[in-house]
Amino acid sequence: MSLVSLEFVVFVILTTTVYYIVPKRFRWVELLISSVYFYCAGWSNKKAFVTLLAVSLFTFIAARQIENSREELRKRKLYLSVSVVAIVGWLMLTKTVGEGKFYFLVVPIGVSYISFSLISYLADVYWEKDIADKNFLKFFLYVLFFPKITQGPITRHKDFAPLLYDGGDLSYENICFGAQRMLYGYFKKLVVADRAAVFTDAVFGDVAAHSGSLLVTGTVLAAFELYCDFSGYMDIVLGFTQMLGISMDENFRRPFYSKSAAEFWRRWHITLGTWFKDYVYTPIVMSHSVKKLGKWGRKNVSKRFGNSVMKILALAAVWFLTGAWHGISINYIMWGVMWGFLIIISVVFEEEITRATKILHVNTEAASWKLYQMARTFLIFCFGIMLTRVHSIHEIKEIAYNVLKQFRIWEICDGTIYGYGLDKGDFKVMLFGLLIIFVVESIQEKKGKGVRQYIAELNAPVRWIIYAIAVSIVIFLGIYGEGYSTADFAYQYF
Amino acid sequence: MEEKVLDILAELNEDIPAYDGDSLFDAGLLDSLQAVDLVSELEDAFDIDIDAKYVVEENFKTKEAIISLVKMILGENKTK
Repeated sequence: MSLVSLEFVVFVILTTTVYYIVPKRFRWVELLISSVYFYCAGWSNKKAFVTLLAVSLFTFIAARQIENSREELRKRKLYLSVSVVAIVGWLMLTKTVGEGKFYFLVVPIGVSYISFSLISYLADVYWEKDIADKNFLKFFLYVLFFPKITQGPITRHKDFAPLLYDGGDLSYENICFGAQRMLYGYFKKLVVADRAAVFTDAVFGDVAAHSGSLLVTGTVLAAFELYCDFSGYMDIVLGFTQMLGISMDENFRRPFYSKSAAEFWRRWHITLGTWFKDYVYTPIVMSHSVKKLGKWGRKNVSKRFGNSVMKILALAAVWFLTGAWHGISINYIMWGVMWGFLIIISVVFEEEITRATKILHVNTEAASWKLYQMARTFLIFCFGIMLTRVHSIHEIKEIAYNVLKQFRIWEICDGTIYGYGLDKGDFKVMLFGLLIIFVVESIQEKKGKGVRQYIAELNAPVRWIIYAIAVSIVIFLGIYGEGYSTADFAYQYF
Repeated sequence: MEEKVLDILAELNEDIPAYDGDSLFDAGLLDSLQAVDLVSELEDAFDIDIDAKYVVEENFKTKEAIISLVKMILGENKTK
C-alpha cells in the first residue's frame, strides 16, 4: 500500500478511529493488526512477511538470551556476536545477491531500516541500556509498526517501544497538528518532488544528450526532489503517529541551513547519523586497540595527532558503511568516500581553517559568510546527488564535458527546458512549492516555532480557509497517476 | 578533581565551564568529535579507562554530568 494513495488515507482514518475506540491497554493489538494488514496488503510478497517474522523471532530470542546470561560475559558476547553477524549477513545477502537466488532469500521492504533497528536493540540489551521484551507480539509490533517500516525513522527500542505499547491519548491538538503535518508531507511529495522527478528522470536518463545548463538544473532539482520526497514521507508518518498520540524521532532539521558537511549530517537523515555515531563511531573510537593507538600518538607525536588518528579511523569506517548501506554499488561507495573525505579533512585541519579565516580577516559572524557556507554545503550535496544518479563513471565525464564545453545557458530561457515533461505552468507550481517550503523553514529556523502554532492562534474561519486552500493545492496541483496513486518514495528501496 | 575536570573542559572550549544550560550539545559547545578529545584528556589526566558504554550523550550533557562520570569511574576503580 503506497502512502500516497486514497487507500492509505482511508486506512489512516479507520486505524485512528478504531485506535481511540479500543481500550488503551489493547491499542497496541490494534496497531499490530493494522501493521500486518499494511505489510501483507501493501506488498504482495507474502514470503517477505514470513522472513520478517522469522528474523524478529530470532532477534527476540537472542535478546532474551543476552539478558539471561548477564553474569556470563563470554556467553553474552557470543550471543551478541552471532546474532549481529546473522542480521548483517542477512542484510548483505539481500543487498548483494538479491531476491530469487535462494528460496529463503526474499527482500522485505525496508530491510535496511529493520536490520539497524534490530542491531541497536541487541546492542542496547547487551550494554544494559535496554530491557529485552518479554512479549513477542509486542516486539513484533515494534519491528513491524507500519509508519516506520518502509523508510524509518530508525527508532530506538528503549525510547519508542514503551510509547507504542502504552498507547497515546486522544487530544484535539494531536489530531489537528498531526493532520496538518500529513498534509504538508503530501504537498512536498506530490506538488514538488514528483514534479521535479519528471524533469530529473528525463535529464539523467541520457546525460550525453543534454547541455550543461540543463544538467546543472537537473542536479539542483534532483536535490530538492530527494529532500521533498524523503522529508515529505517523514512528515506524513510523523503526522500520523502524532494523531495517535505517539511521538517518533525526527529525521530532518532544515538541512539546507547547514554551514558545513558535518552539520549537514546532523540535520539530514538524523536517525541514520545517530545510529552510526552510537553503534559504529563510538565503539570503534573507544575500542581498546584504537585508544591504545591514540595514546601512542599523543605520547610519541603530538596530542593532536593521537586524537586525529582515532577519529579518522572511526569516520572512515562510518562513511564506508554509510555508502554501502545505501547500496553496494560504485555510485554509493564514491558518494560515501566523498562525504567521509570532506568531513575528515574538516576535522583534521580544523585549526588551520580557523587560523586562515583569522588571517584573511573573515568575519565569520557576518550573514554573507554564513550564506556562502550554506551555499557551499548545498553545492556539495548536489554533487553527491549527481554521483548517485549517474549510471556509470563514464557519465560523470560526460556531465563534466557538457558543463564545461556545452553549457548553452540560453536553453534555460528559450523554452528548451519545457521539453522534458514539465511545461511553464509546472515549473511555476514547483517554484511556488519550493518558495512555500522555504518560508515555512525560515520561520522554523529563525523563530524556533512551527507554522502550525501560528495557524492555531488564528480565528476559526481564517484557519478553515487556510485548511481548505491547502487541501485544494494538494488535490489540484499534485501529480497523480492512475487511481490517484503516485510514484514510489525514493528511500523505501534502501 | 572537579577543578581539574573544569580546566580540561576550559581547554576544550572556554565557554563550557560557565555554561549552565541543559545540554552542551544543543548549545553547540560540544559535539561527538570533541567528545573523543575530552575522553582522551580525562583518561590521561585521571589514568582511567572510560568504557564505550559510558560514552553516551547523557554523561556529557553538562559539566556536572561529566564530573559525576569521572567520580563514578574513579570510585569503581577504587573498589576493584
